[in-house]
Amino acid sequence: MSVTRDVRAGGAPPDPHPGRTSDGPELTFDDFYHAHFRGLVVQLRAYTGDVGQAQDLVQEAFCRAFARWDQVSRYDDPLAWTRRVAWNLAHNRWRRLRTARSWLVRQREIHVAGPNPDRVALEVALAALPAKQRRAVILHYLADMPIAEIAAQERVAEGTVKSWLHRGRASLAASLRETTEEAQDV
Amino acid sequence: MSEHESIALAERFARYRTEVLAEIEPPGPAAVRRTVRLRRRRTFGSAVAAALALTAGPILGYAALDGPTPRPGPVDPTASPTPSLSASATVSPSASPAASSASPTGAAPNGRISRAQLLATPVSLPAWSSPAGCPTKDVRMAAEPVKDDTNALIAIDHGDLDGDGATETVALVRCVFGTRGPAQVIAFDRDAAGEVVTLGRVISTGRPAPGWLTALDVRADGEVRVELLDIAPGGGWPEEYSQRQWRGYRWTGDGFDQVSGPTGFGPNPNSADLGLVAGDLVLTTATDGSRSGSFTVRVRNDGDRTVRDAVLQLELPTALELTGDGWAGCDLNRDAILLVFCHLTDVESRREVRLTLDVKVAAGVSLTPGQAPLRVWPEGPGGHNMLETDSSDNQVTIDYR
Repeated sequence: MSVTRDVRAGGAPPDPHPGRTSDGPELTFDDFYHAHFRGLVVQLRAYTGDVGQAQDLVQEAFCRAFARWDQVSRYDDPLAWTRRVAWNLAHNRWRRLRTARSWLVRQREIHVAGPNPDRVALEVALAALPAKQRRAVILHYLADMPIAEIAAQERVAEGTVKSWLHRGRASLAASLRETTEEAQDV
Repeated sequence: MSEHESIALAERFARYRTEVLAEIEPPGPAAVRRTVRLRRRRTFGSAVAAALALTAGPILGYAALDGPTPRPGPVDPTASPTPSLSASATVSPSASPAASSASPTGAAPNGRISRAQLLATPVSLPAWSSPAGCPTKDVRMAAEPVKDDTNALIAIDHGDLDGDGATETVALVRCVFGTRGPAQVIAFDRDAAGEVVTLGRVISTGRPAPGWLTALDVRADGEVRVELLDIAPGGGWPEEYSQRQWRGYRWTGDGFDQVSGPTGFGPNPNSADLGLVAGDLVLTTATDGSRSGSFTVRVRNDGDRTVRDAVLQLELPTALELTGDGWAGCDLNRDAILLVFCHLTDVESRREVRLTLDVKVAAGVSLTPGQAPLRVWPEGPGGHNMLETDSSDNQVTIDYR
């Protein structure tokens, strides 16, 4: 997707239409969408606790990517751009939506009645984490992002991400332990 | 956390991903194209936009929930190159698991507000620090204000402040009072209805610093860079005496935090701390009937740097004649009073300059005992007054008799 790597110093100027070179296939929007839409929804669903909201956020991020696809498709990592937009939308929305907490709790109650207690337990444990830890944990486990990329997206030092991950994992393990014990007590 | 728990947690997330992935039914890229095309059409005019707003009715739930995040309004045509990917535009939307997530709103996210639009739109501003008298509600900003207590739009720039892929607007606004007045850098956006909304304050002038904001620049990565001066120009203070800094701020989701540049100003290099002490003048009469005497003036530098130039001003009665070498380097102006300016050079840090000043009153000239004010101040390059950091000891009054 990035063509500048093939431009040699002192060589020919960069091709103004890099997507049409024979170096590699052009990244089509449809392929990009289908390859990543659901993965991003999973992450934001884990973050917001609501699949409808997660899907809206991700669809919106893809709209913004499509609106400037000429540029975005040439980025080294168009997925990173789109993911960042989706997460920023969620992040801002999270803070602007004053009722987010109570709304989230309501969502959880609905899920509690659902068929899979394992998944509910994970979502409840995630919801109890501070937002920064929750983001780090989800990006680590569900987006498979290395520490450095999480740090870049969150604009913090790698050490900070490690600390969020460490604390987030410990809290998750503790609350999941409790849930398991409760289940065994019953 | 045990190793077993660590593995169990990773497995739990993996199961979660598999399960949730299977439940998601994407609206599809065709829905993306449709949304983006709808937004672009809005640039063709308000009539088209109004018509689309009607058709967009059923899917406005997202916007209503979301507050200011998705923004309708004309999409900036320069920022969005139009791809020729319209072949599949008529594909019907795919089924969606939940009605609320059928598709994003047709509202176009665009907080790019031009200077002309911002001047033409009533806006709310964050509160001015007292005692500024500028309004903050339903404010129409002015390009070139002609009276005090007017909000002047000094500078404007655009960028994606919150990393949401859309553009917001940042403005430098000054509450004009004379040639000065407090200033704020304010971020603006558009809400779901296309109205200009105020996101918040990036930074404002404050006491003691910064006294002046001069420029702003939104970088490609969304960082808002602002140029600050420690002291506002005007009132005899030239702008070049002020210290300049660029500081960077970033949107955190509910406010702006500083992320780059210095966090404070050091002492201004064009400042000084001079002090003044003087003795009274007691005249004695000579055999020829004239009277004479002397008094001492001590100018002290309490600051850390040498003061290259300082001026001592004395307001003396016109009956006095200035005699002796102590007045070398002084200019005098004899009018209703005798106004004397003495130029002092290189007053070193923690040292004092001592002047012994001799005067005489000619025989037959009367002098009513009284008081004379003396004042000292530091001068910087070009002869402007420097900042006196402690002005409580720069003026004294001596008795003469």
